[in-house]
Amino acid sequence: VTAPEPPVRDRQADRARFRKTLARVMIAQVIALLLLGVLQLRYAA
Amino acid sequence: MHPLNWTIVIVYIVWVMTDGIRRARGTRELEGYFLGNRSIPWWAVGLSVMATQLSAVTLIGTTGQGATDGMRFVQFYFGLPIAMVILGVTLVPFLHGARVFTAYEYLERRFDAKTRSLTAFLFLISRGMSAGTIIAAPAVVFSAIFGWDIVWSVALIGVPTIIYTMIGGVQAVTWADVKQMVLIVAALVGLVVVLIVRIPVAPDEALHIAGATGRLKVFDFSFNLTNTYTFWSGIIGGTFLMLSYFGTDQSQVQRYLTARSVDEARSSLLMSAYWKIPLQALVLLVGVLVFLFYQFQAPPLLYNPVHERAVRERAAAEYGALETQHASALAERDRLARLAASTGEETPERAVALSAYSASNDRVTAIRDTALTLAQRTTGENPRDVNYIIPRFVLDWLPLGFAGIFVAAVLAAAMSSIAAELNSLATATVIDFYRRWIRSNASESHLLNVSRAATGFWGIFCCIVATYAVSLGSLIEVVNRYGSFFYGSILGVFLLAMIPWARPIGAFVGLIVGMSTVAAVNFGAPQVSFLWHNVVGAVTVVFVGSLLSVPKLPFSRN
Repeated sequence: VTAPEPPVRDRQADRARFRKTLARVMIAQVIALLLLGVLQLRYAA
Repeated sequence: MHPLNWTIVIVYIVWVMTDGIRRARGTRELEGYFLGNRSIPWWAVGLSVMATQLSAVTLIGTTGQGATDGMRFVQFYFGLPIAMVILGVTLVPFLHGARVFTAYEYLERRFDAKTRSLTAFLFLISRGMSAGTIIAAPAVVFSAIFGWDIVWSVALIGVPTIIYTMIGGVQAVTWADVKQMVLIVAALVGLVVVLIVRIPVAPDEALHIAGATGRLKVFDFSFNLTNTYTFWSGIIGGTFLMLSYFGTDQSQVQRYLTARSVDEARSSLLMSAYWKIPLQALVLLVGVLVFLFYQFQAPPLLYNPVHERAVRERAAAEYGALETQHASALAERDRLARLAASTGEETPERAVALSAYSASNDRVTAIRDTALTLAQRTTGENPRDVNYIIPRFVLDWLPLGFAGIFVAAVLAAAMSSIAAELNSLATATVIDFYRRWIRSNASESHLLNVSRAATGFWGIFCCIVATYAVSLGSLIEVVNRYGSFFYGSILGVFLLAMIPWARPIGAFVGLIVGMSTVAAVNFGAPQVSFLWHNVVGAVTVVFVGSLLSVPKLPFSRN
């Protein structure tokens, strides 16, 4: 049993939305790691 | 604690309970009781996901870890955003689209009943015991701090949670989680503000002092399988752990099955992807700031008041000598900390002053270690002193009202996790066992009554485990240890479910082989961090399961 397959146009829109979300999450992740890196470099190096 | 603080705690408990009971309206069917009619908005689900993961151990233990060990624990969560994105495109659409009540129900549709029952059974055993420890951790601390019997502490946390979860179902759990999450974050931010105000040097100087002791060292890029807190353990091992937890553990899966659509379920998980690392950094920062606060205020030699009293009574001379040494080492450290803070940045004097301060801090740590060894020898118990650092600070130093808010926040953190556990334990019991094997044609009202009874049963079970947690210590450790044997393996079964040619025989045998392999790694190489067990389990199940599912092999026919 798999999830019902959405129509092709929906799947394309879904993929585009996912790529955008993925990019946002990765940017947020990189910003968080950079801030933690700055904390370490400034105070613990 | 001041009566005003107790009033805040009581108001919080009454508020959460009455609101939870009010949510019982609309839970006349099983789908309403367990899944909120799949109509809960994504932001409430997202906050519930975060509140479930954030337990009282985080507020008490992790903050204490920040005070003693610094920020490096945050690396543990580096895999979480990656796991959330992977789940968003893999398991979430599968589980939400299949319109199931439990993750394990999906496994029967995809494979067979025995794979479903085995995974559900493993969930019930491990979660039942771990929910007990979630109550026990803050209950033990409350008992020690307030001088109560452990039964009262367990009752304070457990009874209101059981009542609102039993009556209100998932609606009560989710909306209580939303309020509890707001309270927890407010308490943490309040603590940070109070600490910054109370530390007598500028925040920048204070952070330089923390940095000199290594507490602001976040990243460790060494590739070491025996160390849990490295960048690579967090990114690789952490991703698999979070995939297992958020993708296959009913206590989390049930949160996002209540969302209105697949998109909203994804969005709720992505809230954790954005906010978990900053939140965890905030929790650890509170600990670091408490450490800094105690550079300029004399801390107790032992934070656990029960052990402090025991050592004073039974080893008075030895402890008295240690206290004298501790007082003089603290005075020297205070002087050197202020000196380091007053020297100009980027000057040679600053480096010398920070180095002298760091050496004085090592002397204080050595005296404290001796006191901890003395406490362990005298009481015969592990002092677990780190869990008492923040509660002692809160009760001794916070302004009136703040202590009440913090205690309410600890209760909120405990209740939010336990409520989700009880709700999911009841769901798996009723859906995967009672309705599947005992009364498959029972009416909705009968199943609803059984679900409430199951919630109550698991609540009482968890309270009993929590009450006897101290004496059951080794048993709980065994259960948690064995829990790590099958966590990754269950993830492997779900990953296998997404491989089109995978067959039931592959899933079931793969699960057994995966758990056995993790057990072999655990006993054969006990130094390997448990984070890697999940990787080993998941990869083994997918490999063995795929192999056994190849149609031409004689043993793969079903």
